Amino acid sequence: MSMDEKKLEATSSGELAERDFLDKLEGAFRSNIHVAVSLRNLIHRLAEKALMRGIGRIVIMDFCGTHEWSIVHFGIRSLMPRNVELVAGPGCPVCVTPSKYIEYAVKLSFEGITVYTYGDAYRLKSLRPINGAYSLQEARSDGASVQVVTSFIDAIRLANMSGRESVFLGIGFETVAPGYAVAFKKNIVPGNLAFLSQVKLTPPAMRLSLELLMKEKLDYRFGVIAPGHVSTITGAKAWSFASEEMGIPVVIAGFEPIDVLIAIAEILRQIVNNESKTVIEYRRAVTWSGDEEAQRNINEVFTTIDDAWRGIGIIPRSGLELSDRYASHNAFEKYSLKRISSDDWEYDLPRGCKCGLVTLGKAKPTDCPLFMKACTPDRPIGPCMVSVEGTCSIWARFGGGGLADEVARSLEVY
Amino acid sequence: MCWGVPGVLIDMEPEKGIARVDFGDGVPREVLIGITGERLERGSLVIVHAGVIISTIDEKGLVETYSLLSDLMREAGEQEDEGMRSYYDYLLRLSRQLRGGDSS
Repeated sequence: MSMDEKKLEATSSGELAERDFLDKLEGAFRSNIHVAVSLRNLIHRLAEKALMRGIGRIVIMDFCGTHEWSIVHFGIRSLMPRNVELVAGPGCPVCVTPSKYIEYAVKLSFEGITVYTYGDAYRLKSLRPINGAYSLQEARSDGASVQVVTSFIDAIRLANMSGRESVFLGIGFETVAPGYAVAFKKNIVPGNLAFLSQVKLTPPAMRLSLELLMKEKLDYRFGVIAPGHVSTITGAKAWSFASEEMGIPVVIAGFEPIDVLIAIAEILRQIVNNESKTVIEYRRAVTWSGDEEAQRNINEVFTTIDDAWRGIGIIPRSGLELSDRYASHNAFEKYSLKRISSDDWEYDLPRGCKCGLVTLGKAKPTDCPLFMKACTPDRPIGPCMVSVEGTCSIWARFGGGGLADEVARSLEVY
Repeated sequence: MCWGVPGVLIDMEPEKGIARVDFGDGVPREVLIGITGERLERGSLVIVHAGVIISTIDEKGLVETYSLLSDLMREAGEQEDEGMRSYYDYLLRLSRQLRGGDSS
């Protein structure tokens, strides 16, 4: 957008100044303390304006573990005005993989089929044991055939080498989906390697989380910090339903603390001015339409299904299953495993664990009675603590300090 | 979450959807090409997530990734190391060399 267009878009001089300020800041990167202080002040000014316009509380939700990490690590929550709350939404695919599908993988591993899995899914516990094993890790120590890999291509290579019947536990969001898709499309997945698709789509989960929040907090206003890397694939357009249909400002942000602060300021600016737009702050990587070839590949190889999310339920059109053309690779078909439907979905978190509510942004990790008591990164009970991407794990490992302390010092708060 | 690991694209086989990426240790590793192939060339700086190229970055983007990662390492109690800086320097040098010019 040219400067002139920006000027045309701005309707009042105050708004122009703020926008101008935000644009200038976009050029700055790294945790420049002066920029952080200016942004913190701007955020407080905007929050005050919101209060003056009768807008009470504002909830801003992030949807990416890396954003949540940045928020926790740099102590950005402590920089927020009292009427602005930052909440973590669904940003962890391992956390929402249903217990039943872990049980399927464990069962297959005991039947002599090699299961390839990512490291955090390896430790993920199911609700019920299969042959006494609650996880792929336990199955392996009982002699089952389980191998940890860091990527699908590793599984392809190993399956090619061994020639053994094997399954890949294909967990992920839109970021990894185009990689899975291209492997099938280019026909490099060997016949002996089946694929247990656990690919989840983030926009439907965002819609559900926001709908639940809006229902619960009637007089609040909301904003969304949308995920950066997912958006490089899906494009900013994937989130426009929130701004257009739900009236919620959306900013796609990079991962630096400054990026996150800019996103918060832009959301508040929109709320104060009664706007709701989808704005790309992370312009160095994200476009409006995203990577169209990647989207085409995903659409060719996968079909969208109503999918089960652990501790949450069935979310319409929120998962990807291999399409009929690739049915011979589909582990659900090959081993007659039943997908969970809305009729047989059951609550599948360990007793006391609030991972489902944490994932939806309805509870903070510290609201859970198990957090840092029974459930720690070393001895995780719930999936949100098992995965490095989980909100509980991020809060446990990276709490407090950092940038917020420096900002507070420079403001002479203490 | 999409922790992306930066690397330099060494070569690719677009017909297989595969590329080889050097993550800083001189050993090219196979990855899947998740994004439009036309955006990629020998020497491209790429971000790889779970063995899938999910985006390209420019040199400035690489520096940002470095600072984010070094903060994370410090926070996680890892040593602030020279190794990581030299790793990023290596990626930058390799990328420039493969693209056939020194843009410094």
